[in-house]
Amino acid sequence: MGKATRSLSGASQKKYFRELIGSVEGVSPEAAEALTGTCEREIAQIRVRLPIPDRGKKAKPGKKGTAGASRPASTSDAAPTPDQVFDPFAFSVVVVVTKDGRDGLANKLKEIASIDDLKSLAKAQHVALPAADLTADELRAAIVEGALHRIANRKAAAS
Amino acid sequence: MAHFLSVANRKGGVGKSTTAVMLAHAFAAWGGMRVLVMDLDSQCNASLILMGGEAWSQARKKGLTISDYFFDLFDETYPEPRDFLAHNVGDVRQANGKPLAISLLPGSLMLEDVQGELYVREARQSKDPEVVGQRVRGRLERLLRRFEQSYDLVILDCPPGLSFAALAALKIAGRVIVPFRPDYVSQLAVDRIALLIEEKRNEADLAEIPLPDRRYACLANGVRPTGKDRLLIEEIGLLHPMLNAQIPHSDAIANAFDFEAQGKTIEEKYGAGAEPLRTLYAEIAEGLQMQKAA
Repeated sequence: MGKATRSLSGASQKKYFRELIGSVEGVSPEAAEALTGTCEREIAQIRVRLPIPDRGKKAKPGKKGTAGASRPASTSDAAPTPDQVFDPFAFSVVVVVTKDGRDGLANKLKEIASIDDLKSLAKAQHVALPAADLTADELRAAIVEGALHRIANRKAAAS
Repeated sequence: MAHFLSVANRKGGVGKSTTAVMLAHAFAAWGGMRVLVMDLDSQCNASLILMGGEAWSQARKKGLTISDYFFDLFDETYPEPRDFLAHNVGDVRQANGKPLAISLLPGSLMLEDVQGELYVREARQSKDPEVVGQRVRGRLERLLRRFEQSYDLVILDCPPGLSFAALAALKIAGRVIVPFRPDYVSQLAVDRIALLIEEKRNEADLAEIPLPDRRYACLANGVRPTGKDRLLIEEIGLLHPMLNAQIPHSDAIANAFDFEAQGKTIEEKYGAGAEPLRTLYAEIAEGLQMQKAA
């Protein structure tokens, strides 16, 4: 009989990646965030051996003010530390969508799991959102559209 | 042969005049240059900062302002253009107490009116408004270039509006500094002045000019240490060349623009603001040197 395993996806998978990679010695917080983001983008589902080591306290979230400053998913059972406070100005949605396109921004926004954080980012960066209650995925899509709309507005104003 | 440096933005309140004055102080004090400031803004703030209210009022009474200069020399018959310049202006001194080599063609409240009169005068020669406009601008360009042999740097403090003098200043400038405040309206204003400077009709045409090849560079002014300011500067930098130097939101810098009869060194005058000013000076000076070498 094989060892017990558990499949992870979505927020729990991201939390696992973040804690696993963040616990590796010599990996900077920025590199850990980048690796976490890459894994999350490219891996749909993982199966891990149980029990999962408790690495929560060793995990090294990104520095405040960098692109990796997003707060972990609100599904996380650990309360956010001061270092994990979400920074709605960590990156510019306009800059990312201009440089990396619609998909680039959509991927970047996937690093933000919490609906409150997505709303906070949109509000801080003056990205208009529909009034209706939206899921996280719908919010991300709306933020992408809102960022593109801001760029279109700016171009129209200059012409 | 002087470098011509225009400080321009069609939006008001972004710090054009204070930037012009800071650069005049910096290039004269640290660069040892002979600097001429031409105040093209009818608010006359650069003049008031550099010479104080009383001396500026005297210049007005004597008819020695930029509107008098344009009016009297428009036909190029006035014998001595240097009469219009005020020399060794400003309350910043060298370390040995001597004044800086800054001259000023003082601003005038009448500048827009005088340009209108010059347009009417020129219109007697042609009925084509475009031709008349080009001729007025061309004459003003020549007048702005008049002192290029006598100075190392001529700083043109432009008004927010699109006067003939402002267009002439943009035309002759080897380099244009575009100060802006990190806010949303300033972002739009930078987009517009960029088209004007590079003489392009739209953003697509402007984008054909690589950022390092453009005549202008943006200067973030009054920057607060917030994420919002940082992101707005980053967004403006997507489409426009941005100076690395920034002018922080600072009481020390704001206080430096109060004219004081008793001279101070530039470090005393700007206090904590001297450091970012020195960074700005070094970056622009390097750009001017590269331009000269090219």
